[in-house]
Amino acid sequence: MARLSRRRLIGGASAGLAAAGLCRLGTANADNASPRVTRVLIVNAPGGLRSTAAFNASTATDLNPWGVAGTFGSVTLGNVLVGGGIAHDAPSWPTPVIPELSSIADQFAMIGAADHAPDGSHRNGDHNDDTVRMATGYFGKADAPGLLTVINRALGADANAPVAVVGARHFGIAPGDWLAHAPIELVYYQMPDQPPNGGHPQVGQLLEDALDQRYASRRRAQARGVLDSYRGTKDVMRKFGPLLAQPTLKMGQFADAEVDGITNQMLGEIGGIDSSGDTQSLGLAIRLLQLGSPAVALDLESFDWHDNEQTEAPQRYPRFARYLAGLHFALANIADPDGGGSLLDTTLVLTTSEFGRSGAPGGFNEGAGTDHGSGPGWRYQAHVLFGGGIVPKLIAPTDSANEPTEGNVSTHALLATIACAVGAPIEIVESVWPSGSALFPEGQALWQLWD
Amino acid sequence: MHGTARRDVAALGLAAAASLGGCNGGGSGTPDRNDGSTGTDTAAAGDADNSGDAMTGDDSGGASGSDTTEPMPPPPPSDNVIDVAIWPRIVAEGAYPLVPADDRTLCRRMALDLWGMVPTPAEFTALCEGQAPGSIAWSMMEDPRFVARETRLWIRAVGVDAPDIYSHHIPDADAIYERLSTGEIDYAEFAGELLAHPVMAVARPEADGDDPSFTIRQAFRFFLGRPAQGDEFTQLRNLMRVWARGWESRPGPGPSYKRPAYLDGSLCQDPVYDDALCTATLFGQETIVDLSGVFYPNVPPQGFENSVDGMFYFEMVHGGGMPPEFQAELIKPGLLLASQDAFWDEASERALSRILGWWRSTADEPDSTVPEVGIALGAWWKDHPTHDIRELYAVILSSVLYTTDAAVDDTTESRSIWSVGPTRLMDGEQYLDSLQVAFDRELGFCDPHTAEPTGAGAYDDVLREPQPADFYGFGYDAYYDWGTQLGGCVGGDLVPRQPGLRSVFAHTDLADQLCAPPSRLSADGFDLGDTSDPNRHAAIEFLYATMLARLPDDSEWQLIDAASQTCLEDLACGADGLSGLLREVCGAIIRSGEFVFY
Repeated sequence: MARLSRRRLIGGASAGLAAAGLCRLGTANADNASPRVTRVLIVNAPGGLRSTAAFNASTATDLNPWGVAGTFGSVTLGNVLVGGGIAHDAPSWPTPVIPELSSIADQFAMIGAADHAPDGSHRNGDHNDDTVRMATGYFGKADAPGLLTVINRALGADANAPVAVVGARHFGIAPGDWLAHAPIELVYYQMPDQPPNGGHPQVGQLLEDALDQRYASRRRAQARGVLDSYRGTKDVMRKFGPLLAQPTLKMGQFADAEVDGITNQMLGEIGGIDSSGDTQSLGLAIRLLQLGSPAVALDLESFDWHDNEQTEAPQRYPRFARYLAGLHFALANIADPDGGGSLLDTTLVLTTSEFGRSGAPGGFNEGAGTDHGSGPGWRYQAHVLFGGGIVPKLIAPTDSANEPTEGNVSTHALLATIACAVGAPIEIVESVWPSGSALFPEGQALWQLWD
Repeated sequence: MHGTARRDVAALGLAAAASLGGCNGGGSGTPDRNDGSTGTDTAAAGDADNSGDAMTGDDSGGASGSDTTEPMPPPPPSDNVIDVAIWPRIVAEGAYPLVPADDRTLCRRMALDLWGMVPTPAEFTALCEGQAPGSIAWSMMEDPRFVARETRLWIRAVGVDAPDIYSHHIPDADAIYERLSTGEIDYAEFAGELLAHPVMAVARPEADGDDPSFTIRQAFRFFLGRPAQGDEFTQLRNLMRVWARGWESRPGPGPSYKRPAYLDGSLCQDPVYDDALCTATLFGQETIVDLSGVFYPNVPPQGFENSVDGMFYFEMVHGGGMPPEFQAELIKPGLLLASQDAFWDEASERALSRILGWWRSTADEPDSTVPEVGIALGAWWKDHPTHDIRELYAVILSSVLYTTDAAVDDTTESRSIWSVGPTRLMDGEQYLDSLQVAFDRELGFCDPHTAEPTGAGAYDDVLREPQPADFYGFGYDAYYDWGTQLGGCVGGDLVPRQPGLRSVFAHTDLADQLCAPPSRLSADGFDLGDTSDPNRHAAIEFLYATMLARLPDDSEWQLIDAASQTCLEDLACGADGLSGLLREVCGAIIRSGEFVFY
């Protein structure tokens, strides 16, 4: 995929960047610092996806009792993920078959070993701790914003559709001064039926605005900032309210509602198998991207089996594979509304989870599951990336024990890279994930993904 | 985290206060629970040596007594220990005299903080009008709504949610919070009981299994505000060895008993003493948790399909009751923590944060910008003869940090946060519960113990208080749905959730749905067919008073009158006359920052 031109950048959705510093995170080359993509989709697998059995499949039984299906480009897929994988139908699409994941996996890049906390400040495998860490880069830092909050602050005001979290709410953490930049949380079955009625413009809205103004003017400067943020959030609601009430965002309903020929029905087919909530959420996320959202974070499935993983995982991991394959298929077959190629060309997709799993002798603990909180299988996660013009490659590979063999990648580097790639200015990125800190020892974005 | 450096800073503040106001080492100021006046307790608030050192280095502008040309700064407005501690900063800033919040504002603020909802006009008259802050505080803290609010906040502070623990243990701990909130137990006993309960003693990530490290770290952070030092970790762990988690399942219908807490004296395995003795020397005190004889011979609780070496906590408490001599052993670790100065410091910091909102001083956040207040309050709290937590709250609630008006003008808008009253954001439950009060309409509730909706999984539904089948006329759990959209209904979840766009949508939705009958938008018997100015004004004053605890000012009346004309004469609000206008005004108020913040 071609790097976005400066003209397009300045003239398009990222116009706000013209006045801001380019994201030269770790590079002195201004051209090398220009945004790479216009959209980002985070596909989060909550609960602790066993990446040593999925994308970075290990030959060690302790970490991957199901075995390895094969290596496809930069990723090594596990049997539990694709062993039973089959292509699935998408009858409403011009090409009515979605290929199985292994047939497109050679287009993926992978970070084999992303370290939770390079400074050694690991916690002990608590979901709450590490979910926040995955989204913000920090353990227990109360003023740390989530990745999508950062992106929303940088790009949300000029976007045509809102930055949104669809279940993966930690990516939208917005403490303190970030309050106004919290992305909207959307649930596919809770979309508004009609634009929010904020009162009559000359009566209710007028009084509301006057009350806000009066109250804010009577607060000290710092408190007034929070009030102003709240008022700004209301402005965003008034801007996006009509859009969010459109039938095209009501997955599972209005099958014929369409945007540029892509109907709700078509989006409902990409998950295959069924009309599950995750399928609808995935459809909603894609629709938001199509409408111009710079970033969406999405939860798909859940992977925390301390027991019964042995029997449950072979059911659920293939579903996750189908979702990813369907997502890739849909993005590749939806035209970029800004012109040029497809959404896949301009949308970066990243898989995340709060951590991996520790593994156990023979592959499972006594409850036929796995735990988390110790060992390289837990500590070093594999993240898959595709779309957005990235070059398929493997960064930070691991050995069969999941120990990194060529260094690892910090969470900060990953989050900063995503923010920079979509066009967040360096000032914002550096303020959240300062380069060179103990949590960001690389000090530079992972630009090699595009080189 | 609390440290020596901060205590030094505190001494500076206290010394300055002494030099300014003539208070000897800081006042005490427990507001009298009857009349709200300050008391006469003279417990020292600072370290005398530190105060002496600080006096020589004090450059805060305090008068030395030898320079008669400088006007003497005023003394602190009371001997409240917080007022004395903060006063030098207020003087240095030139922020005196402070403007106290009026009765209605303070009443609303205090009710939101202590009850989690706005007061009714009748409650304002009965509890607040003409009363001193301390008196209002005590009146409100004797109300059951205070206990309910405290319980919810303690659940959140302890931060345990299913499935980190067998869900039956979670509401079981309510009794501890309730006894603390009613003064039945003091704060040291609270620590003892909480650390002797599964919500603190064994709740931890599943991956930790029987490794108590999480518990030990949490105990130090929660009660002392610092990590364990030296061999403290090992010593406290020794005392907590008796706690473990089962992996049992009860046959037949009913709740799963997966991971219930159980107690097993044999886990101590002390090579010196009997193997049912857990021993430690912590803070220089040799302590033994003696469980010998209690568990032997081992008798599995009835109904369990397999046994463990100990006794299930739940069965002991709810079967025949926890033996008192046994409980006396289990509370020892918590009481040991209470022997430390840091314990009282941390309790004070927690209370300041709970009531002021802006206060920051946790293990994960920087120290407060006014540490001398935290230290002074902690010292007072430690030395106070009784440790009813309501006394601690009353000191804060009657201090200038709380009772000062939050409104500023052009000349005072840049004041420091300690020179004006607090401005806080309602949480989801506060917002919805306030609407229930304002509208005199039941909307429901969400379970304080869990973030799960009914029927979701880990938290057992049999533990929930049922709501009516029609959910108060909505036909679905509207309270939970709205609450989660507003960032509330989080159970023991501590994830910071600020209201963003989703909350604003919820505010709008609530205005649409609730600013209409059966919500009460006007006084009983009010004639909504009379659109005359006096009647219209009376109706709008009612809404302002019930929701904002104030009446419109002159400039607002001009706006309201113009909007009323648009609404009534131009039929912009439809053909509903005054009802349509009240819907608009009601919606404007509950969507406004003035309602959402307090």
